[in-house]
Amino acid sequence: MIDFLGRTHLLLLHLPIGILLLGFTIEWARHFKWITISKSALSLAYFIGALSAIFACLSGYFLSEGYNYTDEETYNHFWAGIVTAVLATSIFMVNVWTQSPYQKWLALGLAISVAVTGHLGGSLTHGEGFLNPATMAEEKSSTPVFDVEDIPNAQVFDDIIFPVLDAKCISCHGPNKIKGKLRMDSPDFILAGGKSGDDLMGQNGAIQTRIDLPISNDKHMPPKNKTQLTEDENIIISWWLANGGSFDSKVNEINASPDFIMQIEKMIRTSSAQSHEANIAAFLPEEDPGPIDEEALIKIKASNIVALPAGEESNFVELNFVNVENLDAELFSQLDPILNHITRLQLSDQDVTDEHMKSISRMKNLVKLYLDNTKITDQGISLLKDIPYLNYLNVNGTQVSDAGISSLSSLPQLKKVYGFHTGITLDSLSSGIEIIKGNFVLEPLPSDTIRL
Amino acid sequence: MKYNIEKLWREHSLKNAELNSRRVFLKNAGISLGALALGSFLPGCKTPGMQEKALDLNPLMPKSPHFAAKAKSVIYIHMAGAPSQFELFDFKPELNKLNGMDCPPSLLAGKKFAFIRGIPKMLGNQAQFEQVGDSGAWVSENLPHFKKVVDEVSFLRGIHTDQFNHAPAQIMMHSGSAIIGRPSLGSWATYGLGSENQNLPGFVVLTSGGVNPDAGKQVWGSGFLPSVYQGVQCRSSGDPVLFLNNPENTTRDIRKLSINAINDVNKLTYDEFKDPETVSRISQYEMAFRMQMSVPEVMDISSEPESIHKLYGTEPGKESFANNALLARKLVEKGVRFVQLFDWGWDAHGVSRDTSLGIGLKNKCRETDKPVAALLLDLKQRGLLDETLVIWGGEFGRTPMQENRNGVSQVYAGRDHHPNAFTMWMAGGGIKQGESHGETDEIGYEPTRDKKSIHDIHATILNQLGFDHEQFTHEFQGRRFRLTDVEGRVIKSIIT
Repeated sequence: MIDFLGRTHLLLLHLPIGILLLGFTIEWARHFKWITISKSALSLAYFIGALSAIFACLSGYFLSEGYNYTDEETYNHFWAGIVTAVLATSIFMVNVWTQSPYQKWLALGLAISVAVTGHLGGSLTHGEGFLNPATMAEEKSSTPVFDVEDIPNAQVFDDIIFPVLDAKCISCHGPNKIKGKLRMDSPDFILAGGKSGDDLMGQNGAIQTRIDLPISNDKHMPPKNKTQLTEDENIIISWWLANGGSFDSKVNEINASPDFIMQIEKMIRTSSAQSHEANIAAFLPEEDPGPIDEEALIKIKASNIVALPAGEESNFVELNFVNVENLDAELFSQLDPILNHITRLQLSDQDVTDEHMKSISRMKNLVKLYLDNTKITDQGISLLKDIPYLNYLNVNGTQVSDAGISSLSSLPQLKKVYGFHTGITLDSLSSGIEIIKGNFVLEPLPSDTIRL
Repeated sequence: MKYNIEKLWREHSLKNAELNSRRVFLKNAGISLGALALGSFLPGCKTPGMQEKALDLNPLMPKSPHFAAKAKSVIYIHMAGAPSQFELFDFKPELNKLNGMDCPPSLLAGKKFAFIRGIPKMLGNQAQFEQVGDSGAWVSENLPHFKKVVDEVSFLRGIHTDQFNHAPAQIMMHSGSAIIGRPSLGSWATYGLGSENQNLPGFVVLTSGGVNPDAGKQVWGSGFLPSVYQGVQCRSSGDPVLFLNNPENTTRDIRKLSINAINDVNKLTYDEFKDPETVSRISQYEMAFRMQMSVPEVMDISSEPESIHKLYGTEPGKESFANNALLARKLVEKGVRFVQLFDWGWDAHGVSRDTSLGIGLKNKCRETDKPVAALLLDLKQRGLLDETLVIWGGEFGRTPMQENRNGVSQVYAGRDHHPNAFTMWMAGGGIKQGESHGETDEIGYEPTRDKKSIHDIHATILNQLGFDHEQFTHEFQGRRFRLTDVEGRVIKSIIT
């Protein structure tokens, strides 16, 4: 009986919304003298409105008791409903017994209260953010996001099971919404269980039985209007529950055959095919140099220098002089406004001299520098010793020698120096920087030329 | 007769007067104005399948990828015909124990093979294997030089495809679909990145082995992308690009004038019809003109020092895989984005001496082993391997069973096509060194760990070039297309 009364809420709630808003409309239309209507007619509207609001409150109270809502979720809606009912009753009484000029403001307050209550109620039924489908779609990603490479050594719960719960269960059984007084966002909460008091874990636990119920059953989980578990997810959750439902073992510590690992991999593949994954980009300095001087960039490009942002929307820029025929000083001075933006500079085969190196030494964000087959010397190369991010340096085919290259041993990020066809004899610098001097040979073998 | 002429003349005068009436003029004016207005309401009705952004008069202008890229260029070595993983990289002691036994029916149930019929015999590794390098990777005796560079590469040992015939599998491998019509990898790369060197094509194709790949030029085609993005096939002997030279008695100046005149007309045509193929044609003329100077220079390997020829085993003037490998390095050095090498002749079915695992395959290895190792070393010493992604692979794998074409056992050892499991490797361009990803079962029949698809490889290649493979699209026939279609996952564990 209580259940039935509770469910009439879904019917009754529409009456006060319609009738009270009608009352509000008449009130203001009368104020602006658009219509004439007797005071008693308005009283009737407010009376029925107030009465239906009170019934809606009562039925709503029963509904929250009998249904899976928690107090926290319904709190605001509950009190907003009571405020609406009280306001409706008082406006009815003001209308009948007094002649207050403030009545129209009371009506406005009532209308706002109706709107707020209605919205809060709607959010309960349809979910937060229902009114804005764009944000809804973004938030409601029901595809698990896995971050696991080595499946046999992955944590069963943290790496495999939790992402599934996170995508399919936690939006209703988590910190934001606690339907059925159950949270599933940590092992402790899962073990604590929910309102029904059933044990969730194990082969016959509530998780398994609720999943196994036919979708038409009210107790089936996830509810039929929500995204269901995929077949793979189903199999893997059952496997986890059947094998003890451990929270801290690795995959290969519980009963996982190679076939089953393939099964897990399949689940991860399928879901990652649907979810957007992060890209792996090349290293860029952390500190953004701010917007680039577009005019300077256009001039640079006009000089046949390939100048491209290091990725769309990046303020860093990569330069390649491959199409430049004459590297004169003027051309190089065009780079001055963007020195801090350059992360990659390719000057291969150009007439770069130690004079140019002065500009280059001011490029504080330089990561990769190609100076192969240029005219630089030890003197020029030593100017690079204060470029903090320099990671790659190519001095192939130059006059650079051990003395010049040794001056760079304190560069923190420098990993490799290419010194093919140079005077360099060192294999590495004291700080562990590897020098690749090339001149590789593959010893000839008879099989290179003899055919069978 | 006279009557007829008079009647015609009267009719003509009447019609003439009607057509020149004020009413007709105003009516026509209304229609024309309406049509003019309509034209501006329908700006989309130009040519389908071309994004506004790409309608630049230089479609090969260099462009930024989505994010900072680890690789600037790609050298893709495709061994056409599908090399046998069992004679190169996939060492299977268990399979060797089963050598010569009947294949268990469980492996055959529901499977369809290109040539195997009835019950074939299992075939163990037809080469000696050893673990080499710091990474301890298993490599066969067929690749003695590769053993020295094994620590540069990341192996992908659990690759699978869904095609078991050469042509569709090659098209799948290069365009992400077994059905022709999609752009190839290199076309996507040049479409997204343009060409850094404005005097060279962004996408160059070199073939060796005497025969073009089975799938034909489709494997470097541009599909629905403008044709300026298709691969430019160069030859390693004779004229590098056919028909590039000026005709006799035509000087470069005259050639320039005639190309300018043709392009001016083409530009007018483009302004009128907005067909992107016109832009392609304009830039192809200009590119060809610039290539007349730059290509013979870059394609000439005779100027390389003797030490380099020794390293690669190259002989100038000859058509060989070795020459192509050296050319690939030279092209990448000059800023070419994508170099595609095809080497034909790896289809070791065992039906003849040349297709046997013991002779034909070994000869193919001898032709290519040194150049591949040399390419990696040469790229490394020039500092190019850092930002050049090198990929090696075939279009599918080969069976752990000996092929018995039409149910008859063969004299030579050979293997049938096997799409379920094979090995590829990648190196340089932000790929980890000495990594091995994926495993196959004891007989190398199916992947047991980290099974990866062709789409995963494509996603990884695009990631290295700075593209989010899910966002890198081209709109064609009302739909946005991706290289990876609706699949693909970046193989993160082999990326530095």
